[in-house]
Amino acid sequence: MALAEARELLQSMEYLPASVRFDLAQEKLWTSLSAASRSFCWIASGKKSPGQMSFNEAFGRVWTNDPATLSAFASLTDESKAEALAFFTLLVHEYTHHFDFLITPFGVNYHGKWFREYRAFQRFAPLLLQQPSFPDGRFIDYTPPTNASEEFREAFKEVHDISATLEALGDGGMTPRAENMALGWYDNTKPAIILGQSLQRITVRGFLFTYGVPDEPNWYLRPSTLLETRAIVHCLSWILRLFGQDERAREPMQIYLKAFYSRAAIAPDYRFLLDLLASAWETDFHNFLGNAHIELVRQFLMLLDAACWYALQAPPPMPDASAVRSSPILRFVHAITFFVESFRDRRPFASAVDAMIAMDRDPKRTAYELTGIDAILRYCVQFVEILQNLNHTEIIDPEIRKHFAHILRVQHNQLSSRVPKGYVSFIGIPEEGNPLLGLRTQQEVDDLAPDAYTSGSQIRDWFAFRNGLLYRFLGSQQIAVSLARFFNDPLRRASQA
Amino acid sequence: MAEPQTSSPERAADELALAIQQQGGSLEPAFHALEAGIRQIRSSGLPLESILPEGERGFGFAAADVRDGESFWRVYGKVVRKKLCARNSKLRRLAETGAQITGGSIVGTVMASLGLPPVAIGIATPIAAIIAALGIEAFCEYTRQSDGAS
Repeated sequence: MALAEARELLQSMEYLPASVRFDLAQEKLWTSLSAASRSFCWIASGKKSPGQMSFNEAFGRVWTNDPATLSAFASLTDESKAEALAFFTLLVHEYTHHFDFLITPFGVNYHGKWFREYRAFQRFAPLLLQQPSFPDGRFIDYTPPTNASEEFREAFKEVHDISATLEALGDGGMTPRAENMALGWYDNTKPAIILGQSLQRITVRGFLFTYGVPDEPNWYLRPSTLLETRAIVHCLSWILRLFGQDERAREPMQIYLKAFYSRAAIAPDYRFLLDLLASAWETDFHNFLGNAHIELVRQFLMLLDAACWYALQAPPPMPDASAVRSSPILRFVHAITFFVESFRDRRPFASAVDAMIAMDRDPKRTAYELTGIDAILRYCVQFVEILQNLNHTEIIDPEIRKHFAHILRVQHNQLSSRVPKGYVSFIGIPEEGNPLLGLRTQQEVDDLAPDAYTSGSQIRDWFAFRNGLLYRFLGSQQIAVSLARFFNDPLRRASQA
Repeated sequence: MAEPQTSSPERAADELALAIQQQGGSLEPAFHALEAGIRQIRSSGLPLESILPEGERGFGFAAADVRDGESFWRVYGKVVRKKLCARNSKLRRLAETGAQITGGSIVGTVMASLGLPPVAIGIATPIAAIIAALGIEAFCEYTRQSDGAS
């Protein structure tokens, strides 16, 4: 019963990247745990006195180094074990998302689009407010009236192009309307065979070349698949670490997977890539985890993590506007096939980073229009600088400007510091799965630590409203009042400031 | 089994509410109707997520998949309750008047309160039936318990 309660709670916990917030009810989670599980967590943390767990208590211990912890874990039921494992991995999961949005070119692209969309709304909203009637239905599906002025149409197009791109990338957990997902890439509607799996080629909104599966007709491989895969892989790797990286970790990992990521109940984003890579061993991930040598399981997780990390280095569109180069999905496919072929051919690499550098030099790179990581990171830094300038000079609302200034400053710091290191990142590809342990410099702590930033209410309200406006069905009154509040009031607030 | 496509939504909601009561409060009949409603939305081309109340969506620890009426209710039930059972909601105000609540009488309220498009009538109907069958107070309390709130 306690596990069911904890599972329900965990399903409602999330990281909100646009407003940089964590919606985590950790205390509620703690009280929902069974007494046995709570007692174990107490032992595992080595806490001597009551109160909140310190960072070291939560993440500084390897359980196999302490016989009391191991024996306490062994005495738990499977349900209590699952609860305890969730308690110790929740932050690993959600901070993986937080870091991925702030230290990668993919994050620069995504936050950049949220910024540019706001800026476009700042131009478009006053024009929309002058219209006699408001959009009926979801704004993402809206088409301007035929008699709209050219100024209105241009401003609308600017908003819509960015919003439609975000939607295709999986913004707001949304999939586009069925008619915006076309079978095939241009004329090529033949299935693609990846790691022995037959996948449908799908083009979303005319620019995102990706893959789908026939038994999930409303789903396609998208950036959130990469992000959730990384989060689960980090958690499993961390459990592996807690249990000494050996055979003792197998059972806890299986319990964890069964309790929270059972194939029957979980959304495809969480399990698709684990199963896809396992298909290289002609099985699914559940069976792979049950049967493969534990060292192979460790390598499997490392390889999948590295392939997703490689994918997240997809830059915002560069000056030649290559949609192929900017696709994290195509980068992922290149990486995973390269890794598996190298593994089969027994082509060893000293590290995952060496393999990634080799991927950039692979003959297939031209098909993916790849460019070196150095050029990508340098471009991202310049791109952020342009956005910083636009934010400073054009965004009227002081609270919104402050928010984007924070995001862009953090991304500038992080991407600049990555330039000399390329793919190397202790946060991005954490050795033991826990990216929180990858925070090594004062700058990283200042930028990325849990208490580094709290967004204001105007930010939360804007991102809640724009999600409703774009993807849901708001009443015209609510649209009018909210648009006026966000885009007429800022003039007043800015003049007061 | 009453399905919203074969009769008026109001009548279907009344029939469903009765079926729930006759089955001792089992929501099984409503789950079947929800499945028909989900099919209706999907065949219109709209993503199912578009009928959720607004709000920034994030990256969860383990987001459940919607495969049938029951899993839909597990995922969306708490969001629906949050919206419908808020202190000053239309539904709460209706309960305070002491008026006789039937499934048919609140389909419109459910549609309006959740901001549902016409194509989601097949979702609103079983939700209205669940509320009518359980009673507003019990519905709000029931879903509160099932989402883990104390």
